[in-house]
Amino acid sequence: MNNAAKLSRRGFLQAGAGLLFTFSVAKPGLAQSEAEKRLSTAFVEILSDGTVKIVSPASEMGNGSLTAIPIIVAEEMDADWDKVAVDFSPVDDQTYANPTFWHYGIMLTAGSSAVSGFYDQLRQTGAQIRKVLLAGAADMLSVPVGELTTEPGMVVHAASGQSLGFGEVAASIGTPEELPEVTEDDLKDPATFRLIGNPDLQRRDTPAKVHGEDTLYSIDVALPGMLYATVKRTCFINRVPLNVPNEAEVLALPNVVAVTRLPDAVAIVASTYEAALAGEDLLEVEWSRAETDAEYSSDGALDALAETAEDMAIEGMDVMAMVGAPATDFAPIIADAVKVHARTYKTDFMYHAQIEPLNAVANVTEGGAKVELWAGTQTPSHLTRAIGDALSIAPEDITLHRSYLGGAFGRRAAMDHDWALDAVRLSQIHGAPVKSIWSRESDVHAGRFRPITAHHIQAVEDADGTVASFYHRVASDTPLRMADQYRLRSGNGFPVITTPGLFPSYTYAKYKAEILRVESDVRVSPMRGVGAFANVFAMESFFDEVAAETGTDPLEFRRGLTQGNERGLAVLDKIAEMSNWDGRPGLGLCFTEGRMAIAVELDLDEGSGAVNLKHIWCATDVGVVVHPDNAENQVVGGLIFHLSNSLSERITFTNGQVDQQNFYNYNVLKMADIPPIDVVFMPSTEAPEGVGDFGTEAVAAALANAIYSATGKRLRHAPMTQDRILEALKA
Amino acid sequence: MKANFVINEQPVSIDVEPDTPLLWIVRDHLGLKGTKFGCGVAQCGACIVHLNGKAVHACQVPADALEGTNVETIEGMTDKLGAALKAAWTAEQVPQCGYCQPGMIMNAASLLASNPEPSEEEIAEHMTNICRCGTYPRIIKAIQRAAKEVI
Ligand code: FES
Ligand code: FES
Repeated sequence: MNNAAKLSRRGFLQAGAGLLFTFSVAKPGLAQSEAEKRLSTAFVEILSDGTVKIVSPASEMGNGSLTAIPIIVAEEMDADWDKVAVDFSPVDDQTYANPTFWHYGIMLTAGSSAVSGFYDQLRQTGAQIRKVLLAGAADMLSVPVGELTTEPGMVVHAASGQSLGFGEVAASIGTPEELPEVTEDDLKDPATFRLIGNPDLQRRDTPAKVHGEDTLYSIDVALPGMLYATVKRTCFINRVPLNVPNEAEVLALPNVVAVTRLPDAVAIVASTYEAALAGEDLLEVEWSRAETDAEYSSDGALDALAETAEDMAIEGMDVMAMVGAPATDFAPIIADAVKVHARTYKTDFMYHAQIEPLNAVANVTEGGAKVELWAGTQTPSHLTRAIGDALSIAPEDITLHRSYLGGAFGRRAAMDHDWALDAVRLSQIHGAPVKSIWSRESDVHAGRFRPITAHHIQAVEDADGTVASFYHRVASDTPLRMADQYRLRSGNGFPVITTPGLFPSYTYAKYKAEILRVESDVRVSPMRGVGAFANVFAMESFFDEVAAETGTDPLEFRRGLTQGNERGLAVLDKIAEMSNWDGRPGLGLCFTEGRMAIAVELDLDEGSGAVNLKHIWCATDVGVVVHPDNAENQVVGGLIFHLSNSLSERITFTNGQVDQQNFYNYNVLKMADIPPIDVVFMPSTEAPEGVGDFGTEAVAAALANAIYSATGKRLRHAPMTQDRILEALKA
Repeated sequence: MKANFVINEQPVSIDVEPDTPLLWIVRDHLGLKGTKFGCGVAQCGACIVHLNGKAVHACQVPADALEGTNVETIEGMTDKLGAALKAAWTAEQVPQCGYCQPGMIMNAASLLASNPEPSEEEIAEHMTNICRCGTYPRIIKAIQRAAKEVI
């Protein structure tokens, strides 16, 4: 693989990381009782009965990290999985920040980074603990440490037939001052893994979720004397409520306690949630800047983005140059070209639709000096910072109970945590615990949305008919501006959320990717797949257009630009085999990240434009698969999520208002819409890559290519809704 | 008003506004948190419970329609069918975030009660709940597994 190909999304991120730190100090991160001696470190605690407690810094938002992260530690420790208890880590960036470079030292679960980011660090942590246990057992048994081995949960001296449980050793030695250095040699040979890659391991969070009995999500928390609230905002950043003309009418509703103005919102506070909802239905608010906001339409905004992308005189940020590659001047390349291919693509606003509405439960006491909060967040340390800033209190005065997340998809990553701050502010104002839940209508209306994008891509055809140089210009707002100013600053303005899918998946002759930042006041956010959803849709659709124009088979065209990337070629061979690739009508392909291929087969009802999906295949090389059964669930889920985005999900604005309200007009795919899906993970011993949304957003391009293959019509605007398909068929 | 009904075999009498949806009675007035709020408009299925043995969207049933009824929630699903469904959900490792799953299981139970051996198509037609995490294929497998178990 050449350098450019190596700079695919996560390759770049990991290369940038450089440092992987080992904990040399045995930090007592977990509660320790004085009475009992125990081995306790930041990630692991071993109790005298042999229980091994392992904490995960990552959020459990459906990703399975609360199981996968402990598997890695337990593997290298050689712990007995049946004696492993799992829990969330405390909130502490110093100790628990994800080592992945683009997290900039914060606790963030996003971009499928939980397992890949922590993998090396956690293997080392596990190996260190195993080393401590071996040394302790050697002392206890008075034998040379070299004669000892481990079996799950115990240290074994084969020569004498003696063995000691981990609990016995831990109770004897307690917590060492320092954890020993470990090298490659202390790590297990992947061929001997018992837990990593084991297809039979089940998720630890499944039973509670299936029984529906426990208080798993913050929305389930109930405190004595708790008030309920729902909140209304506009779909633009920081609009101020000026007037509530029918406040008296809302207050007159049964059980409504107050109509409370927040800096950019109005809350209805009530003694029951149903009363708060009734209040929200009635509430009218006059907002600041309403007149100018009413001029906004998403169609107009998208047309303007397309004009920007196509106007070659406008210069943007050179993505490759920003990550240290030389800048490319494409103008002379175009000027010298025999032939230039060019197309423009567009994508609409989309909405996370996490199925648990945004909510938090807050209990602010001592006049605002102490906060107890129940919330499910992707960025726990950002949440405590946001509260600290809002109330001018220190992080120690905030107790955050990290709940499971009923879906997140990027919506619960933003630094400011508007949805959780609502509960905190209302609890402070009303002097009572408050559960604030955004209604679905409130969430759909105020967003935050995956931003609209326009892409203009050019490709240069050489005299011999080969096409190997590409120039991709993306015009879009950058969600990071709203989601995380801190990361935007510490990344020197690098719009990291917009860039995935722009790092080349192929061995190009010349390549340039440029981001044209167009800011608007619409509330935007990272959303699952982030920039890659739109960028790969555009690029991989364009690939097929160029292949068609040069009379090349789409698979062969991709193979030609994948030479030297053996893992990538193997993936392409695999997808050809799985889909029985023969160029039959209705079969479409895409390839992304240099290591994932997706094929879609469909047919269309030409009269109505309705798509009938027949099959989806996915071949992917994500390195070692830590937890295969969950990984399959994640990839299938990612494909379905993005399939839904690609076919039917769109948020539109008319006169400054979002046109959609709830699931009756924001259309999420259901069971009957989903075709059979087959996923194959390529066997590998390479370090793991993220799984949850690694590449699955590329399904959008496979769909567009399949529609073209079936009909000869090209859809260049996602989502490819039935009305858009019909329009294309009639054109 | 007072709503008098039976929930998970326990008679209850709840003081609420007549238009209070069963969803909030179950969750907030009775503290049974397994039934979830997702949309409030009969679209997502997270709130599905059984009312007199039939699957209903709890967000759509007002308190004044509850008099004398029999309500069953995920917490009450301990009969043979309920146990088989929960075991099948675990065996197939269905949940991701898990939030939609109680509603899915309640809806699956009503399907199997009327059609003990549903085809894939029949399952998909009946199961109109939303799973944003995309666990649909595993739900189909879990329902078929539970069906075999119960027959
Ligand atoms: S909350 Fe009742 S169907 Fe969604
Ligand atoms: S498991 Fe998350 S919505 Fe179904």
